[in-house]
Amino acid sequence: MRSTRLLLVLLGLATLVMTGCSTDWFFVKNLSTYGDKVDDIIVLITAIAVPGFLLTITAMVIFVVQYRRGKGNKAEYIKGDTGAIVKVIIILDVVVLLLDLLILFHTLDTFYSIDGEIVKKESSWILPIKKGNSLVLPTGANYKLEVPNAEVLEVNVTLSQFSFTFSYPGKDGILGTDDDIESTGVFHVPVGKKVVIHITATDVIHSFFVNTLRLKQDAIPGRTITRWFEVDKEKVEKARKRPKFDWNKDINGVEIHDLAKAIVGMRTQLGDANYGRTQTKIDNLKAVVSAKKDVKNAEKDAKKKADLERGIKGTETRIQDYKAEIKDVNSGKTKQEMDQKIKKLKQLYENAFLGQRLVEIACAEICGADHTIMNAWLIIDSKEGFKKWMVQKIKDE
Amino acid sequence: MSATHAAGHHNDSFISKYVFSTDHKVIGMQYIITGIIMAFIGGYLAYKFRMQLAWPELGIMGRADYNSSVTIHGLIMIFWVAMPILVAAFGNLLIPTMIGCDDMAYPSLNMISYWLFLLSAIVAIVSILVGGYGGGWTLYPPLSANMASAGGGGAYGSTLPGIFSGGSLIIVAIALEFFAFLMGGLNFIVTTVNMRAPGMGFWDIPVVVWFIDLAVLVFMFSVGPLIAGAIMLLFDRSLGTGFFDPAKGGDPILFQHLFWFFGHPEVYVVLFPSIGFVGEIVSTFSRKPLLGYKKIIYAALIASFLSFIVWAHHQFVAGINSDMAVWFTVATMLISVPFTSIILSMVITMYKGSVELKSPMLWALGWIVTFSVGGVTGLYLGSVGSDIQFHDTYFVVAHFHYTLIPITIFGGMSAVYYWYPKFIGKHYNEFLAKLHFWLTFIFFNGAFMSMFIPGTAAQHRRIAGYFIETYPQMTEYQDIRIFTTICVIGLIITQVIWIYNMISSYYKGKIAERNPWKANTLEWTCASPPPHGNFETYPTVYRGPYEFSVPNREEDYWPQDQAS
Repeated sequence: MRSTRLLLVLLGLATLVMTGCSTDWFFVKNLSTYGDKVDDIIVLITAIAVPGFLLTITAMVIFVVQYRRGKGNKAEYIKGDTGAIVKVIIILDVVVLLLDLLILFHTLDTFYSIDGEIVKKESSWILPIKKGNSLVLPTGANYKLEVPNAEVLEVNVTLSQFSFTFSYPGKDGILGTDDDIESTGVFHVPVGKKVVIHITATDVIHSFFVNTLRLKQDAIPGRTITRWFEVDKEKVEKARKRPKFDWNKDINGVEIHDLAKAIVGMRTQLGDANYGRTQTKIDNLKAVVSAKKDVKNAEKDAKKKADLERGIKGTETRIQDYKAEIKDVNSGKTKQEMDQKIKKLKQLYENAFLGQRLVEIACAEICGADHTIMNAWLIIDSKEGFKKWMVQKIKDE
Repeated sequence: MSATHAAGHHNDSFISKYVFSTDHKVIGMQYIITGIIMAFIGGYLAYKFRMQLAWPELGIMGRADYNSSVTIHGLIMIFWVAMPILVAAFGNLLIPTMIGCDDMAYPSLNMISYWLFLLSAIVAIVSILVGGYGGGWTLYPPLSANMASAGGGGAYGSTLPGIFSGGSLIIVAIALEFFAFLMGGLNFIVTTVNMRAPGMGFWDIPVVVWFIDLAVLVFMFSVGPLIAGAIMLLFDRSLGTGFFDPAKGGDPILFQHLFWFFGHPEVYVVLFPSIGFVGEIVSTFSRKPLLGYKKIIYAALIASFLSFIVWAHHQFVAGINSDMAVWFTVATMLISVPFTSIILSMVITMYKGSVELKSPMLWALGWIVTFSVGGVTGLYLGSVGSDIQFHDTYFVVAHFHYTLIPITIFGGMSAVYYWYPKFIGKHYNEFLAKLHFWLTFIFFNGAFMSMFIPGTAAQHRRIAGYFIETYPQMTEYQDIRIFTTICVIGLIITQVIWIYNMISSYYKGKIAERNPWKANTLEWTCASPPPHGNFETYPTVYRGPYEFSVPNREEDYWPQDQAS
C-alpha cells in the first residue's frame, strides 16, 4: 500500500499545482473588460477536469500495481451488470453530469456577457425572453444596440487577402458615408470606451483575433457580424507597472503614433528580408524547372528556344544573386544589419509597451498563400490622444 | 463447408490470391499496408513543416508550401490512415473471424471497395504532385472554391486547369474514398447481422465488432451531406456555380454545416474501433469480464446519437446564432457522460483482476491515459465561453492530436500487437514491442503536451514561422516549438522499431499457437494464421465473449465455442 499512498500524495500535489497557478502564468495578459470572464471559465474547467483526470489515471495505476499477475493475484469474476460497482459508475456519471452543468452555467454567462451586453437580444427563436414585466414570445433572432451611439465608437472592420482595413466615422460622425476615415493595418482605439465593430470580409473567410482582448470572430464574405470590446484603463495601467505615465508618449517622450509608424516600417523591412528570400528562392526554382520543360517542348522552334534559354539564364543568375545574399546574411555584414534591426525593433516594442498599448491583431483562419503574414496592430490610446489622431486624420483626408 | 471453401482456393495464382483477392483477411492486410504507406507520407509532411516551425530562418519551405503541407497532412492522416486501418482493415480481419463465419457477405464488393480506396489514395498522391491544396483540411469555401488562391494555380504552382488541379483532385479523392467505405461498411453490417455463428445472440458479439459496426453506421448516416457538399464545391471550382459564393447568392457557412455534420461524427468513426480494441485487451489481460459490457454498448449508442447534434461547436466563432451556440454547448457537454462511463468501465475492469503487462496491454493503458487527456481538453472547446479563446489555436491542434493519435497509434498498435500472432502466425519480439511503446509514449507526450503551452496562450495556428516582426508576442515560445519538433522527429523515428519488429518477426519469429493469450472470442479457435475460409468446422457459440475467471473452473478462460 506504500505505492498507493505515494501516488495519492503525488496526485494531491499535481492538483494543487494545476489549480493554484495564477492565470498570468498561462495566458497572454488580458486588457478587455470581459476577458477575465473567459480566463475564469478556463480556470474553472481546469479545476474540474484536471483532478478528475488525475483521479482516473491514479486509480488505473493503483489497479495495475495492486492486482498485477506477478504477485500471484487471482482475478475475481465481476461482470458489472449489477451490484455495487454499477452503482459506483452511475454515481460517477451523475457527478460528471453535475460538473458539466456547472461549467455550462458559467460558460453561458461568459458567452452572454460578450455577446449580449451591448448587442442585446430582443427575442429569441427558442426561448421566451423577459422584457419589462412581460415575456416576449419567440419571433426569430432579432438584435439591436442598447447603448446610445454617443457612448460607443463604431468601426467597420473589413478583411481581405491579406490586410485589415478599419473605417471610422468621418466629419459627419456617421459610419458608412463617403467621408469615413480609413486606416489599413493599424487599429487605433481609445481606452475606456466601448468599441462596436462590424466585421466583414471581401474575398474568403478570415478571422479577427485579438488575443489580448479575448476577442475572436470569423469574418465571412456576404455577412456583417457585430462584436464589441472595451479596453479596461485600470488593467492597462496595472499591466504597465508604472504609477505615472503619459498616455500619448513612449518612455522616451516620442509620440506613440510616430512610434507605431516606425514599427510598421521596420516590420516591413524585416518581413521582406525574412519571407521574401524564401519565397523568391522557391519561385525562382519553379521558374527554372518550368522553363527547362518549355525548352524541351520548343526544340523545333529555334527563336522560341533561344528566348526561353535566355529566360533560364536570367533566372539562374537571380538564384546566384540570391545565394550570395543568403551568404551575406548568414555570415557577413547583412547578418549584422539584420541583427541590429531586430534589436532596434525589440527596443521599439518595449518602448511602445508591447502587449499593453501595442497589441497584435491576427487572422486566425487560413485564408490563402500569404495567411502567415496577415496581421495588424491595435494601438490603445487615451481618449484625448485618440481624438487628436482622429482630428489629424480628418485633416489629412 | 468451410473446408470445401478452403479447398476451392488451393490452386489460386499469386495474383488472384494476394492482389485481386476476395478473402477478407488479404483485403484487411491490403488496407493496413496502404494505410501505413500513406502514414509515412503524412509523417514526412509533418516532419517538414515542424522543421519550418522550429527553424523558420532556414527557409525550409515557403508560405504556400507550408499551408499545403499542413492541409494534406491532416487529410491524409484522417482519411487515408485512421479510417482504412482502424475501420476497414480491422473490420475485415476481425468481423468474420470473431462472429464465426468464413468471409464477408459480399466478397467481390469487398474487393471492389479496396480497389476504389486504393484509387482514391493514388488520386490524393497525384493531387500533391500537381501542386497540392493549401486551404486547410476543412476545405472551407470561398477559399477552396477559388482556384487561384487555394491550389491549382497561382501560389501553389500547378499549371493544370479545373478538375485536374490539386484542390479539385483532393476533393475527388475524398469522394472516391467515401464510396469505397460505403461499400465496405454495408458489407460489415450485413455480415454481422446475417452470418453470426449459431448460438451467437447480439449480446454475445465481441465489443470490438459492436464498435466497428457502430462506427460504420455513424459514417453511413453522416457522410451524405458532405458528399453533397463536396460535389457542390467541385461544381463551384470547375463549372462556375456559386453554391458557396455570396456574390452569386450562395453562402459559405452552408458548407461548414455540411462539413461538420460529417466531421464531428467522423471522430467517432475512427474512435469506436479503438475503444473496441482496448475493451478486448483490457478484459483479456486482466482475466476479468469486461465490466458493464451491455452498458458500454448502450453508452456508445447514446454517444453515437449525440454525435449528430454537436457539430456546430466547431462554428462558435463563425457568427452562428447565439441560441444555436447555447444548444450545441449543452449537447457537447452531455457527450462527456457516456464517454466517462466507457473509460471508467475499462479502468474498473482491472479492479481485482490479474493484470499482465504484455505489450498489447501497455498500448491499451497508454490509450486510456492519452485519450483521457484528449477528452478532458475537449471540454474547453465544447464550452462556448472558452472556445472563443482557443478556436484555431495550438490548443486545438494539441487537443485533436491527443484524440486522434491515441485512437490511431495507441489503439491501432494495441490491436496490431494483440492480433499479430493470430493473423501472421508468428510471435514478435516482446522487448522491441515494449521499447516501441515507451519511446512512442514519451515522444508523443513530449510533442503534444508541450504544444498546450503556446496553445493556452492562444497562439494561432497555420503560421509558417513566428517572426519578431509579425508576431512578437508569440516569439517567446520558440524554444518550445523546437522541443516539440525534436519530439515529433523522435516519434517518427521510433516507428522504425515497429516496422523492423513486424518484418523480422514475419520471417524469423516463433510460430504462434492458436490461442496465445488464452482469450475467449472465436478468432482464437482458428489456426494461426487462419486459412482461407477461417474455420475447419463452423463454431457454435454457447456464451458471451468475456467469461474470464468463472468460479469453479480450472482454467481462467472459457472460449465462446466450448460446450462446457
